[in-house]
Amino acid sequence: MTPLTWTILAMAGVTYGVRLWGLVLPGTRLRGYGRRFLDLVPVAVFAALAAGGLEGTGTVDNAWRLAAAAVTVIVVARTHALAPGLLLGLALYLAARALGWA
Amino acid sequence: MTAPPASGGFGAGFRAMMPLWVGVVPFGAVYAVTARAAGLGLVDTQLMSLLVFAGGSQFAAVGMIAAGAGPWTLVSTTLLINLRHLMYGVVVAATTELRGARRALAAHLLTDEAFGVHVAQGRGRPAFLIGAGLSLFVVWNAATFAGAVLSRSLPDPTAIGLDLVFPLAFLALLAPLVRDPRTLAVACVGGLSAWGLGTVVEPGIAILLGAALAAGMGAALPPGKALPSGKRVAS
Repeated sequence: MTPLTWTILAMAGVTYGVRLWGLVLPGTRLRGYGRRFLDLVPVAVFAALAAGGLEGTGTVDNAWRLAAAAVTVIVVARTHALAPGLLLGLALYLAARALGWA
Repeated sequence: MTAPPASGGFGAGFRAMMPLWVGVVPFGAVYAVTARAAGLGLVDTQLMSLLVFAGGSQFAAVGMIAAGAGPWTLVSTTLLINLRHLMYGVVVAATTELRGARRALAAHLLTDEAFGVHVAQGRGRPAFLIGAGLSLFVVWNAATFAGAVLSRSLPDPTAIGLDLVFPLAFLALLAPLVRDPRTLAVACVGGLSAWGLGTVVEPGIAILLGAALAAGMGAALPPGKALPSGKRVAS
């Protein structure tokens, strides 16, 4: 094995360790502030993950990306389904790019 | 958090991830192209997708390898970028009974996307989580292999706009969870702080810090009146 292969194994080890550590921590026994914190983690994480990727390459591109995001949120709120909202939002943005608007 | 029935759901979890494949395939391929360009062989390129299985840290590692970073820098950066997965594990474990081999497998498959669809649609169902995780794992690794082999003829997904799939998917998962002024405030603080921090630190670290700050703030607030909101999201 090369030194790089050993490094990849170490990277895999720390990633797996972090994931497993979370799964074995006694989160179910948390009460009060700790429990509320855990309940809000998905909201906070999804918002953080979305915000980081929404920024585009300029003002016009950003406007179309925000429009696509608005379409996705509206469609998901109305249909309670992930795929239509995701695909419609993406289709709007790709269409704007294809037409040279974004 | 209320847990639905614990049985079944592998196929549902696998299918729930399918809308995200459209974004995963080009990025898996581009990761491989970038890795090959940075000097990684076919085996090491694929090994990283098989064993690390964390897109953000794989891209970061490849960039650092190209810049000549040493092993300790690579491993410590990977740890920092993936620390947010600790929160995912705690949230999953609080609602879903995972033991033995299932827990060991789920730990390998617990990515941003698998966590997202599990929280939105599969709470309480370990098989759903494993199905969703495996769906992503298979596609990510197939795309890595294709990218490594066809490395010279693939377009950059960012250049054709497919990078938007991921933020849209996370917004779609977020929308039904915003149910009251507190969750709305948490979403705003989480998004804005991660975006702001992302200009000064690695994106994975910005996500970890922004999300921890927002959830920590939200846990100290009263929920307030419910907003007009939805049901659990379906794929």
